[in-house]
Amino acid sequence: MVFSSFTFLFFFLPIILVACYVAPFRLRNGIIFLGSLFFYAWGEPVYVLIMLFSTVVDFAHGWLVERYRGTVKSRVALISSILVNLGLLGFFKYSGLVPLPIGISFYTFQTMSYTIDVYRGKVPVQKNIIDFGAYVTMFPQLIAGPIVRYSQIQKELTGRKITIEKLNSGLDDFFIGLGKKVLLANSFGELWKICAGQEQTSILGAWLGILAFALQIYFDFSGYSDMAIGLGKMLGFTFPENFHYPYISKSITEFWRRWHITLGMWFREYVYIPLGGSRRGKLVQLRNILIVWLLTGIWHGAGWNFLIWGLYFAILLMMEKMFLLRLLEKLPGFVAHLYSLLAIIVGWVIFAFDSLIQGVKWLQTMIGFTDVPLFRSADLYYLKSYGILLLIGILASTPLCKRLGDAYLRHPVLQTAGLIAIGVLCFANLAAGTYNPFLYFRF
Amino acid sequence: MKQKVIVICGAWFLFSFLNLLIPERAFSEVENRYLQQRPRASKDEILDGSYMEQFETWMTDQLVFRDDFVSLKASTDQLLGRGDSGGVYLGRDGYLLEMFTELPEEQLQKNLDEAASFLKRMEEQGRTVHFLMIPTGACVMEEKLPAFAPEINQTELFAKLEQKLPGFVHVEKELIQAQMQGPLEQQLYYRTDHHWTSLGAYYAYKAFCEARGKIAPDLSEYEIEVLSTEFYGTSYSKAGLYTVKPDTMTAMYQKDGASVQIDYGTGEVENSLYDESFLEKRDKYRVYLKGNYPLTKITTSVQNGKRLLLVKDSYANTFVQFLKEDYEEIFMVDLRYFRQSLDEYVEEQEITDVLFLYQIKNFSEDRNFAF
Repeated sequence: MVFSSFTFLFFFLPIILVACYVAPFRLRNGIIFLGSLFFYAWGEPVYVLIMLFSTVVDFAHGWLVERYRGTVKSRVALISSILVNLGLLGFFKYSGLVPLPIGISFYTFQTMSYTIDVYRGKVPVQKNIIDFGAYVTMFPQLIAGPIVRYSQIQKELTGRKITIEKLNSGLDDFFIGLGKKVLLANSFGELWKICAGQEQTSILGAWLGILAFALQIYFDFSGYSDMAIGLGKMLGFTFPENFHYPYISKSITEFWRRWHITLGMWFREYVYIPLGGSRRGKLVQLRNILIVWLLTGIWHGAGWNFLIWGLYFAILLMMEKMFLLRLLEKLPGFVAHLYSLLAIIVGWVIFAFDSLIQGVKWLQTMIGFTDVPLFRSADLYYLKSYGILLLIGILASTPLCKRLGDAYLRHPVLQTAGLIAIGVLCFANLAAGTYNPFLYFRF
Repeated sequence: MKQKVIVICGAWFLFSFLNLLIPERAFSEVENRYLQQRPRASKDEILDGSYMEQFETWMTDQLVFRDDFVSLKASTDQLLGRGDSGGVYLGRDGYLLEMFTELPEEQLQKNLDEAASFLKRMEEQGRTVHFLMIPTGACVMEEKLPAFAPEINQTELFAKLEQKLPGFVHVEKELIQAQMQGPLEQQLYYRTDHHWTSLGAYYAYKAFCEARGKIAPDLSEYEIEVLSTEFYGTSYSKAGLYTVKPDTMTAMYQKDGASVQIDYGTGEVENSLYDESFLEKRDKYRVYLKGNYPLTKITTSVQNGKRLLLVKDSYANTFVQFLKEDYEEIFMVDLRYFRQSLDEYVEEQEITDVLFLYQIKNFSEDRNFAF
């Protein structure tokens, strides 16, 4: 089930919320667990078994790690847990033999964080499989993140309060996220599809297309995260932030601190720091960066383009660590910003095309390296059709909108009207049944 | 803050509840299609996920205020400067024009080859052949299109088609000229439908007459009778912009014109080209010859020995109003439904004239061309 479907909005969510609010606390995790299984099975009626399997196996591993703490067996249990998770991920994601179970990249990373943290003694072992199941399967963040580590919500699993403040802020997050996804991302997705599908390209068309893609992927993914965070609040949980205006970054280092933050934190916590991080000299640090970003790349999929994409960012980050960052600091802000945006855009070209050759061709078109016109009249048509929305999208990807909202939309009546307006427009777009994919379901 | 939460949750829950309460609609008038009814769960359909898909379609189709939501979406799109909606241009003066942005080259080539070889055969057998290729409304009314519309250049295309098709008639030139020179309020195509009007069909007839070395009767010689002022066509359904005004449909005939007997192959023989019972229904364009039948046989009071095979799409249904003056018998064939060999049929019926009449987009996308 996806958040931007009427089944979710008018059927599943009202029922689960009412059930959670009415039920006594001890039953709530059970409701979330069962509800989440239903939520997942709605989209993956068969693969729900894999998720159940994963839940049981990791629960058992956590228990074994604790039971044999201090002995070799504990370590064996940990390694076995990691192997099972990576095995599942490897088989379903990279073998190419079966269709990808939705969200597997997200929930295997979450369950791994549990056993590792239990082993490290950072969190107590979970003795209640219902509570643990509620964590693994929790429908808000189950299929596209944010990647919530067990340690982050361990306390809330057994003791959380639903307050009017949380509900209020949750509603804000949810509807803003829905708006980002349905009103912005879907439209940019249409434009990207049009531009990428043109037989004859032009320089303007190539730029327009990749701009649309950059905005689509940001609003799609961050919209989903906002909705997840909002739903979490409505259920009493606090999920970590996943995006923080990535497109205002003044370096790639900064970009990765603002883009898909929970994935970055996961790799930092469980790969980068264990490998020595930055504490063992420049050379080791550079190696660690390379490893982490190659992993980040292939985490997105089996395609070569994702590996190259990771490598591309690894090289940029290594260069920044060595000298570029110092140079960028001396340059005026807008130059650093321009450099970052260009680097990100080139990254999206690599990311967007399964075939590298197509990506390279697209880049060549963008810089006018091939024999294409500056623009065609159809490009002007699409620019006119989507121009206002692109402008709104660009503004909305900076903190400006939020600042304006905080300054002028203080009054609850205005806020209520604003959220209802977003909701009605979203329902209108969904009712018209246009293009409505979720990009990050692929990963 | 408390009030805000209560209002929003209240509205949301109320709306969800309302969705469960309202009775199902079977058919959508404005969208002109059957809506998804509550799906029934079966084990197989749950396991392969098709039940869930039907369920979501059901939720979407049966949404409370669905038509208003859809219209709101189209209106906001228009406000944002979007030039099209649902595959239809939101043109000037309330015109919803069918988009034709990509030419299906392969299918078109195949259809051209099939049609050309059939027509050549007919020509060799001593029959008169003609091909009327009708432009889309966007080609005729370029000035109504949104700026920079990514339309394919149909006039260029017609110039190429002339080389390939025997008896090709440049209908588009006549229509474009009529559009440019005629009075502002004249309508050659509907605003809410992709079809041409009776007037549009008249100008094509004029071009057809010229091609046969005849002179068409002047426009003033025709009676124009209003059939309906409440016509909402397919473009209206597609665009979802339900604020557009309805179209007027007319019948055009000469006072002393030929009478007709029409055999739809259903057993009964009728005497009018217009079936006004369809004016009460959604698909009003079927007022002209009841819509599309595999074979419609028209016998006229003309006695000149000419027997016409008309291979056509729905654009021909308004065209026959004029054509009936020139032939003793007209055999209208819709290749989508006609299953007999056309060569044999031509022999059987002793056809003297062959006319193909297709709208260009229909023709290039048609998958039924095989003789």
